[in-house]
Amino acid sequence: MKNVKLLSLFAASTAALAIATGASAQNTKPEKPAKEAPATQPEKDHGKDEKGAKGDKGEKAPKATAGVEPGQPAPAFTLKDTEGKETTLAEHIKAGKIVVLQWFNPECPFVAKHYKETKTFNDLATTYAPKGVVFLAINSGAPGDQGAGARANTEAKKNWAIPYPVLLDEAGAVGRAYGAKNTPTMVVIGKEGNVAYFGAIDDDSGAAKPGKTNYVAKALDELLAGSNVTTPKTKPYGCAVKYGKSKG
Amino acid sequence: MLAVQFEIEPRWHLYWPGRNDSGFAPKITLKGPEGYEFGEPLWPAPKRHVQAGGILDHVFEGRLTVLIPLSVPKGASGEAKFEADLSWLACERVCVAESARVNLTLKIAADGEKPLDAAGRGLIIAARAAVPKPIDEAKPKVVAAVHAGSLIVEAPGATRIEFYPFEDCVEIPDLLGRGSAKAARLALPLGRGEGEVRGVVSVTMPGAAGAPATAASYSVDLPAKAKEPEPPRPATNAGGTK
Repeated sequence: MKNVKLLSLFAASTAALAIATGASAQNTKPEKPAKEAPATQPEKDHGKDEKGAKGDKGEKAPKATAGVEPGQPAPAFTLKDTEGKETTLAEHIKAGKIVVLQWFNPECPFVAKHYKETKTFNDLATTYAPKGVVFLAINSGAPGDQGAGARANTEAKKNWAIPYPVLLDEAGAVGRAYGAKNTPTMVVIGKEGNVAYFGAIDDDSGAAKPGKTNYVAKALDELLAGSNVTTPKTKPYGCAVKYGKSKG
Repeated sequence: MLAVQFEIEPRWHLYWPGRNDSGFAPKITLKGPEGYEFGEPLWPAPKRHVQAGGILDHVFEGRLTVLIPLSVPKGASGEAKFEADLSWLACERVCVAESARVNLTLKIAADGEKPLDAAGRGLIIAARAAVPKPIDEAKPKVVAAVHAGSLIVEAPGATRIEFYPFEDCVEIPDLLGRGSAKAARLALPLGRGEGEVRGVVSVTMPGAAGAPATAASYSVDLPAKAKEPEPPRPATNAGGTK
């Protein structure tokens, strides 16, 4: 699916040097014929800014999602998975488990890279589930949005052989309570029910390849060894969670 | 100067390489003949993009032209071939990761020869005009300063002022709620950390006599702590400098 067309690579004279100059747009146009580009008009573009910004203001003032910080109690929740089975966070905490939450959207390229390109998430579960760690994927996408709904998630769970429940949070209340803005956002909850880690899965924020350091694996190793989590917070990366507009 | 241009379909956006809650900016990797050197890419100012759930991004819509300064080695002539590897995330509500490779062959004017005219030249000049200038070059004057823990931007007559922080800007606790002011003054509280206030200020002025409003953008780079005389160190002082 091509949503962005690359017009061309242009060149013009550099200031001081004797000089590179231009193959025309037509000569270098890639496979897709795109309409000839008139000179960019900054005023016009900014005119658009203005309109967009007005649109924002038309709604009520934007409110930041509350969110949780490491060390705070993990907000309780009860959600149904793709099979309609209810799961509560409390039941796992009560059982003395470490819980890993993963904000999920099967259509998001960043999520897909860790399930398809590499097996980051499956491997994580394979390694740590036997050590008593519970994994839960949560989809906070609004009904009708990309990757939301029981069908898309049931399919993804099957196709990617996800060995843990995918919970549906279509109202977005759980996502908002945690301040999850990205798929994937990762949250590790320690045995006492407090957030031990909040952030990215690893240190490569692109959509192409996994990073070198898996922060979740590191946090789990540390928790299981009874020590402190040395990196309790990172900046999550990925797609925006597709929250419904109603409670924005 | 080289330029990479993205034609973005309606309703879709690409990401600005500053502070965002999601996505990532287009990655541009250039290759050219030996001796040719590329500078840091120059980006135009983005626009704020707010989604439900308090998700704030800075994005590009419509057409995006990224400039890459190019230095030509002394004595170069003939032709030079350039190749750009591009990868980007495009989002609407849906996100799609895409990539492309484009190339360009340029005729190089020899030393002393008159610069050859370029079809892309007008486009590059226009794109350069859209790159934020240092704020002290603003005309009419726009003033940015750090005062009592806030970034204050004043632009007499402006109908809107916004601030878009770079990745390495100090923390801004409520960029979502306070980063855009429909006024001639923006007061944006900064986090407590040390560092610089680095980013882009966008100023919208009303158009004269029914003409559309125009926006100009400026780059800002200020220490987050304004230089103030050392206070006589009170034991506790909420809100005091630390």
